[in-house]
Amino acid sequence: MSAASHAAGAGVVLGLVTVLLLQQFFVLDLTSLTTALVDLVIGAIVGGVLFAAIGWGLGRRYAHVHPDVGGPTP
Amino acid sequence: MAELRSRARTLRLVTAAVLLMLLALPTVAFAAAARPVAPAAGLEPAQTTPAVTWNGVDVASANSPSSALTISYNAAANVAFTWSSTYAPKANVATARLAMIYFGFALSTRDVPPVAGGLGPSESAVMNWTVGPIQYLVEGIYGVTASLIAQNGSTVWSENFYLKITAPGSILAAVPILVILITVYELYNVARSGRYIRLSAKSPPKTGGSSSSTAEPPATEAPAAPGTEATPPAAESPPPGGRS
Repeated sequence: MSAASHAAGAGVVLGLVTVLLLQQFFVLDLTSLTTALVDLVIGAIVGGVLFAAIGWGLGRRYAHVHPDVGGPTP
Repeated sequence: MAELRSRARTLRLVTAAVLLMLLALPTVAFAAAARPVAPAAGLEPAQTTPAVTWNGVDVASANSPSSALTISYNAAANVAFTWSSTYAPKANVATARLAMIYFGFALSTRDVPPVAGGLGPSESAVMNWTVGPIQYLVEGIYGVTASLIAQNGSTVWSENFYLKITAPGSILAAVPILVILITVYELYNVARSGRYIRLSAKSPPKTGGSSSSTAEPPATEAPAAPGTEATPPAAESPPPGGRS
Protein backbone atom coordinates (compact mmCIF):
# COMPACT_ATOMS: atom_id res chain seq x y z
CA MET A 1 0.00 0.00 0.00
CA SER A 2 1.42 3.35 -0.97
CA ALA A 3 0.57 6.83 0.18
CA ALA A 4 -1.43 7.42 -2.99
CA SER A 5 -3.48 4.24 -2.72
CA HIS A 6 -4.12 4.82 0.97
CA ALA A 7 -5.40 8.32 0.26
CA ALA A 8 -7.38 7.05 -2.73
CA GLY A 9 -9.23 4.60 -0.49
CA ALA A 10 -10.09 7.38 1.90
CA GLY A 11 -11.06 9.56 -1.06
CA VAL A 12 -13.57 7.01 -2.36
CA VAL A 13 -15.27 6.95 1.04
CA LEU A 14 -15.16 10.74 1.18
CA GLY A 15 -16.75 10.96 -2.27
CA LEU A 16 -19.60 8.71 -1.18
CA VAL A 17 -20.24 10.51 2.10
CA THR A 18 -20.09 13.87 0.36
CA VAL A 19 -22.99 12.85 -1.88
CA LEU A 20 -24.98 11.74 1.17
CA LEU A 21 -24.12 14.94 3.01
CA LEU A 22 -25.18 17.12 0.07
CA GLN A 23 -28.57 15.42 0.15
CA GLN A 24 -28.85 15.94 3.89
CA PHE A 25 -27.94 19.61 3.43
CA PHE A 26 -30.65 20.21 0.82
CA VAL A 27 -28.36 20.39 -2.22
CA LEU A 28 -28.83 17.04 -3.95
CA ASP A 29 -32.02 15.19 -4.72
CA LEU A 30 -31.56 11.43 -4.27
CA THR A 31 -35.16 10.44 -4.94
CA SER A 32 -34.54 8.51 -8.13
CA LEU A 33 -32.51 5.32 -7.73
CA THR A 34 -30.57 5.64 -10.98
CA THR A 35 -29.75 9.29 -10.45
CA ALA A 36 -28.64 8.57 -6.89
CA LEU A 37 -26.41 5.68 -7.96
CA VAL A 38 -24.87 7.79 -10.71
CA ASP A 39 -24.18 10.54 -8.19
CA LEU A 40 -22.55 8.04 -5.82
CA VAL A 41 -20.37 6.54 -8.55
CA ILE A 42 -19.27 9.97 -9.73
CA GLY A 43 -18.53 10.99 -6.14
CA ALA A 44 -16.48 7.85 -5.54
CA ILE A 45 -14.45 8.25 -8.73
CA VAL A 46 -13.79 11.96 -8.29
CA GLY A 47 -12.92 11.45 -4.62
CA GLY A 48 -10.62 8.54 -5.36
CA VAL A 49 -8.71 10.31 -8.13
CA LEU A 50 -8.50 13.63 -6.33
CA PHE A 51 -7.31 12.20 -3.04
CA ALA A 52 -4.91 9.79 -4.77
CA ALA A 53 -3.19 12.86 -6.19
CA ILE A 54 -3.22 14.52 -2.79
CA GLY A 55 -1.82 11.37 -1.16
CA TRP A 56 0.90 11.13 -3.80
CA GLY A 57 1.90 14.72 -3.05
CA LEU A 58 1.84 14.14 0.68
CA GLY A 59 4.00 11.05 0.24
CA ARG A 60 6.59 12.98 -1.74
CA ARG A 61 6.59 15.69 0.87
CA TYR A 62 7.02 13.17 3.65
CA ALA A 63 9.92 11.55 1.81
CA HIS A 64 11.46 14.96 1.30
CA VAL A 65 11.21 15.83 4.98
CA HIS A 66 12.36 12.36 6.08
CA PRO A 67 15.16 11.37 3.69
CA ASP A 68 15.76 8.13 5.55
CA VAL A 69 12.49 6.77 4.18
CA GLY A 70 14.03 6.21 0.81
CA GLY A 71 11.07 7.17 -1.30
CA PRO A 72 9.17 5.10 -3.79
CA THR A 73 10.81 2.48 -5.93
CA PRO A 74 12.76 4.07 -8.76
CA MET B 1 2.94 -2.28 13.89
CA ALA B 2 1.10 -5.01 12.10
CA GLU B 3 -1.66 -4.62 14.66
CA LEU B 4 -2.00 -0.96 13.74
CA ARG B 5 -2.32 -1.93 10.13
CA SER B 6 -4.96 -4.53 10.81
CA ARG B 7 -6.75 -2.07 13.06
CA ALA B 8 -6.84 0.49 10.26
CA ARG B 9 -8.19 -2.20 7.93
CA THR B 10 -10.86 -3.14 10.45
CA LEU B 11 -11.90 0.48 10.84
CA ARG B 12 -12.12 0.80 7.07
CA LEU B 13 -14.33 -2.29 6.90
CA VAL B 14 -16.57 -0.93 9.64
CA THR B 15 -16.88 2.35 7.75
CA ALA B 16 -17.83 0.51 4.58
CA ALA B 17 -20.38 -1.57 6.49
CA VAL B 18 -21.96 1.55 7.99
CA LEU B 19 -22.23 3.12 4.55
CA LEU B 20 -23.83 0.00 3.15
CA MET B 21 -26.32 0.00 6.02
CA LEU B 22 -27.18 3.62 5.30
CA LEU B 23 -27.80 2.81 1.68
CA ALA B 24 -29.83 -0.27 2.55
CA LEU B 25 -31.95 1.56 5.13
CA PRO B 26 -34.90 2.27 2.85
CA THR B 27 -34.93 -1.22 1.36
CA VAL B 28 -34.86 -2.97 4.70
CA ALA B 29 -37.20 -0.86 6.74
CA PHE B 30 -39.95 -0.13 4.31
CA ALA B 31 -41.36 -2.47 1.77
CA ALA B 32 -43.80 -0.47 -0.27
CA ALA B 33 -42.55 1.39 -3.27
CA ALA B 34 -44.33 4.06 -5.21
CA ARG B 35 -46.20 2.66 -8.15
CA PRO B 36 -46.30 4.34 -11.52
CA VAL B 37 -49.39 6.21 -12.49
CA ALA B 38 -51.79 3.86 -14.24
CA PRO B 39 -55.52 4.58 -14.38
CA ALA B 40 -57.51 1.81 -12.78
CA ALA B 41 -59.85 -0.14 -14.98
CA GLY B 42 -63.46 0.94 -14.84
CA LEU B 43 -62.82 4.46 -13.64
CA GLU B 44 -64.10 7.50 -15.42
CA PRO B 45 -61.63 9.71 -17.25
CA ALA B 46 -60.63 12.89 -15.50
CA GLN B 47 -63.06 15.73 -15.35
CA THR B 48 -61.39 17.60 -12.55
CA THR B 49 -58.09 16.15 -11.48
CA PRO B 50 -57.59 15.42 -7.80
CA ALA B 51 -55.65 17.92 -5.74
CA VAL B 52 -53.60 17.65 -2.58
CA THR B 53 -52.96 20.47 -0.16
CA TRP B 54 -50.19 20.54 2.43
CA ASN B 55 -51.22 22.82 5.29
CA GLY B 56 -53.41 24.59 2.77
CA VAL B 57 -50.75 24.90 0.08
CA ASP B 58 -51.23 23.06 -3.20
CA VAL B 59 -48.43 20.52 -3.50
CA ALA B 60 -48.26 21.17 -7.24
CA SER B 61 -46.32 24.30 -6.33
CA ALA B 62 -43.51 22.13 -4.86
CA ASN B 63 -42.62 20.24 -8.02
CA SER B 64 -38.87 20.90 -7.82
CA PRO B 65 -36.28 20.57 -5.03
CA SER B 66 -35.80 24.34 -4.98
CA SER B 67 -39.49 24.93 -4.27
CA ALA B 68 -39.83 22.11 -1.75
CA LEU B 69 -42.25 22.39 1.13
CA THR B 70 -40.54 22.68 4.50
CA ILE B 71 -41.38 20.78 7.66
CA SER B 72 -39.55 20.41 10.94
CA TYR B 73 -38.50 16.92 11.99
CA ASN B 74 -41.09 16.78 14.79
CA ALA B 75 -43.90 18.81 13.26
CA ALA B 76 -47.17 17.56 11.80
CA ALA B 77 -48.77 18.64 8.56
CA ASN B 78 -52.41 18.57 7.56
CA VAL B 79 -52.64 16.86 4.19
CA ALA B 80 -55.97 16.96 2.37
CA PHE B 81 -56.83 15.00 -0.77
CA THR B 82 -59.88 16.17 -2.76
CA TRP B 83 -61.25 14.75 -5.97
CA SER B 84 -64.53 14.71 -7.80
CA SER B 85 -66.90 11.77 -7.65
CA THR B 86 -66.92 11.56 -11.40
CA TYR B 87 -63.14 11.09 -11.45
CA ALA B 88 -63.10 8.35 -8.87
CA PRO B 89 -66.19 7.33 -6.92
CA LYS B 90 -65.56 6.72 -3.27
CA ALA B 91 -66.40 3.08 -3.66
CA ASN B 92 -63.47 2.67 -6.00
CA VAL B 93 -60.85 4.40 -3.86
CA ALA B 94 -59.48 2.30 -1.04
CA THR B 95 -56.92 4.70 0.39
CA ALA B 96 -55.14 7.96 -0.12
CA ARG B 97 -51.41 7.40 0.24
CA LEU B 98 -48.40 9.58 0.95
CA ALA B 99 -45.01 7.94 0.41
CA MET B 100 -41.63 9.55 1.03
CA ILE B 101 -39.12 8.31 -1.56
CA TYR B 102 -35.37 7.85 -1.06
CA PHE B 103 -33.10 6.03 -3.51
CA GLY B 104 -36.23 4.97 -5.40
CA PHE B 105 -37.77 3.23 -2.41
CA ALA B 106 -40.56 4.33 -0.10
CA LEU B 107 -38.94 5.47 3.13
CA SER B 108 -42.25 5.92 4.89
CA THR B 109 -45.75 5.24 3.66
CA ARG B 110 -48.94 6.48 5.24
CA ASP B 111 -52.48 5.51 4.13
CA VAL B 112 -55.85 7.00 5.07
CA PRO B 113 -59.29 5.95 3.83
CA PRO B 114 -61.60 8.47 2.16
CA VAL B 115 -63.76 10.51 4.48
CA ALA B 116 -67.00 8.68 5.15
CA GLY B 117 -70.23 10.45 4.32
CA GLY B 118 -73.05 10.75 1.85
CA LEU B 119 -72.58 10.80 -1.87
CA GLY B 120 -71.62 14.24 -3.05
CA PRO B 121 -69.93 15.95 -5.96
CA SER B 122 -66.52 15.66 -4.36
CA GLU B 123 -64.65 13.22 -2.18
CA SER B 124 -61.83 13.80 0.23
CA ALA B 125 -59.33 12.20 2.53
CA VAL B 126 -57.50 13.96 5.34
CA MET B 127 -54.23 12.92 6.90
CA ASN B 128 -52.23 14.26 9.84
CA TRP B 129 -48.75 13.57 8.52
CA THR B 130 -45.58 13.42 10.58
CA VAL B 131 -42.10 12.22 9.69
CA GLY B 132 -42.72 9.33 12.04
CA PRO B 133 -40.23 6.96 13.67
CA ILE B 134 -37.38 8.10 11.42
CA GLN B 135 -37.64 11.71 12.57
CA TYR B 136 -34.37 11.53 14.49
CA LEU B 137 -32.54 9.87 11.63
CA VAL B 138 -33.03 11.98 8.55
CA GLU B 139 -33.11 15.46 7.21
CA GLY B 140 -32.74 16.81 3.71
CA ILE B 141 -34.77 16.90 0.54
CA TYR B 142 -37.03 13.97 -0.23
CA GLY B 143 -39.44 13.27 -3.03
CA VAL B 144 -42.97 12.52 -1.91
CA THR B 145 -45.65 10.76 -3.93
CA ALA B 146 -49.29 11.45 -3.14
CA SER B 147 -51.60 8.91 -4.70
CA LEU B 148 -55.10 7.50 -4.66
CA ILE B 149 -55.15 3.72 -4.53
CA ALA B 150 -58.05 1.72 -5.97
CA GLN B 151 -59.65 -1.31 -4.37
CA ASN B 152 -57.70 -3.61 -6.65
CA GLY B 153 -54.41 -2.03 -5.60
CA SER B 154 -53.79 -0.06 -8.75
CA THR B 155 -52.98 3.63 -8.67
CA VAL B 156 -55.89 5.83 -9.69
CA TRP B 157 -53.91 9.03 -9.60
CA SER B 158 -50.63 10.26 -8.25
CA GLU B 159 -48.57 13.40 -8.00
CA ASN B 160 -44.95 13.93 -6.99
CA PHE B 161 -43.67 16.82 -4.96
CA TYR B 162 -40.65 17.64 -2.81
CA LEU B 163 -40.35 17.98 0.92
CA LYS B 164 -37.53 19.55 2.90
CA ILE B 165 -37.19 18.05 6.39
CA THR B 166 -35.19 20.19 8.76
CA ALA B 167 -33.34 19.06 11.89
CA PRO B 168 -32.34 21.19 14.87
CA GLY B 169 -29.10 23.05 14.26
CA SER B 170 -29.25 21.89 10.64
CA ILE B 171 -27.22 18.76 11.39
CA LEU B 172 -28.65 17.21 14.53
CA ALA B 173 -30.06 14.09 12.97
CA ALA B 174 -28.39 10.68 13.19
CA VAL B 175 -27.48 10.25 9.55
CA PRO B 176 -25.71 13.61 9.04
CA ILE B 177 -23.87 13.26 12.35
CA LEU B 178 -22.66 9.79 11.40
CA VAL B 179 -21.65 10.92 7.93
CA ILE B 180 -19.77 13.90 9.34
CA LEU B 181 -17.89 11.64 11.75
CA ILE B 182 -16.90 9.35 8.88
CA THR B 183 -15.77 12.41 6.91
CA VAL B 184 -13.56 13.61 9.76
CA TYR B 185 -12.02 10.17 10.20
CA GLU B 186 -11.27 9.83 6.49
CA LEU B 187 -9.80 13.33 6.31
CA TYR B 188 -7.52 12.33 9.18
CA ASN B 189 -6.55 9.26 7.17
CA VAL B 190 -5.72 11.42 4.17
CA ALA B 191 -3.70 13.82 6.29
CA ARG B 192 -1.43 11.04 7.51
CA SER B 193 -1.33 9.15 4.23
CA GLY B 194 2.09 10.62 3.40
CA ARG B 195 3.62 8.33 6.00
CA TYR B 196 2.51 5.32 4.01
CA ILE B 197 5.23 6.05 1.53
CA ARG B 198 7.37 3.96 3.88
CA LEU B 199 5.46 0.92 2.72
CA SER B 200 6.23 1.47 -0.92
CA ALA B 201 9.87 2.30 -0.25
CA LYS B 202 12.33 -0.20 -1.67
CA SER B 203 14.75 0.07 1.21
CA PRO B 204 13.19 -0.25 4.65
CA PRO B 205 13.87 2.50 7.12
CA LYS B 206 16.42 2.01 9.78
CA THR B 207 15.40 0.05 12.80
CA GLY B 208 14.95 2.22 15.82
CA GLY B 209 12.59 4.56 14.09
CA SER B 210 14.16 7.88 14.98
CA SER B 211 14.83 10.19 12.12
CA SER B 212 18.18 11.36 13.40
CA SER B 213 20.09 9.81 10.59
CA THR B 214 23.64 9.27 9.74
CA ALA B 215 24.65 7.95 6.36
CA GLU B 216 24.11 4.26 6.93
CA PRO B 217 22.14 2.30 4.37
CA PRO B 218 20.28 -0.67 5.81
CA ALA B 219 23.24 -2.94 6.10
CA THR B 220 21.92 -4.96 9.01
CA GLU B 221 18.94 -6.24 7.10
CA ALA B 222 20.75 -7.12 3.91
CA PRO B 223 21.94 -10.64 4.61
CA ALA B 224 18.74 -11.66 6.32
CA ALA B 225 16.64 -12.28 3.23
CA PRO B 226 18.52 -12.81 0.02
CA GLY B 227 15.79 -14.44 -2.02
CA THR B 228 12.60 -13.45 -0.25
CA GLU B 229 12.14 -9.78 -0.70
CA ALA B 230 8.40 -9.77 -0.20
CA THR B 231 8.58 -9.63 3.57
CA PRO B 232 9.91 -6.37 4.90
CA PRO B 233 8.59 -7.18 8.34
CA ALA B 234 8.51 -4.60 11.07
CA ALA B 235 9.69 -1.66 9.07
CA GLU B 236 6.83 -2.16 6.61
CA SER B 237 4.07 -1.18 8.96
CA PRO B 238 2.65 2.29 8.68
CA PRO B 239 3.94 4.73 11.19
CA PRO B 240 1.74 5.01 14.20
CA GLY B 241 -0.77 7.76 14.37
CA GLY B 242 0.60 10.92 15.84
CA ARG B 243 4.09 9.89 16.72
CA SER B 244 7.12 11.17 14.88
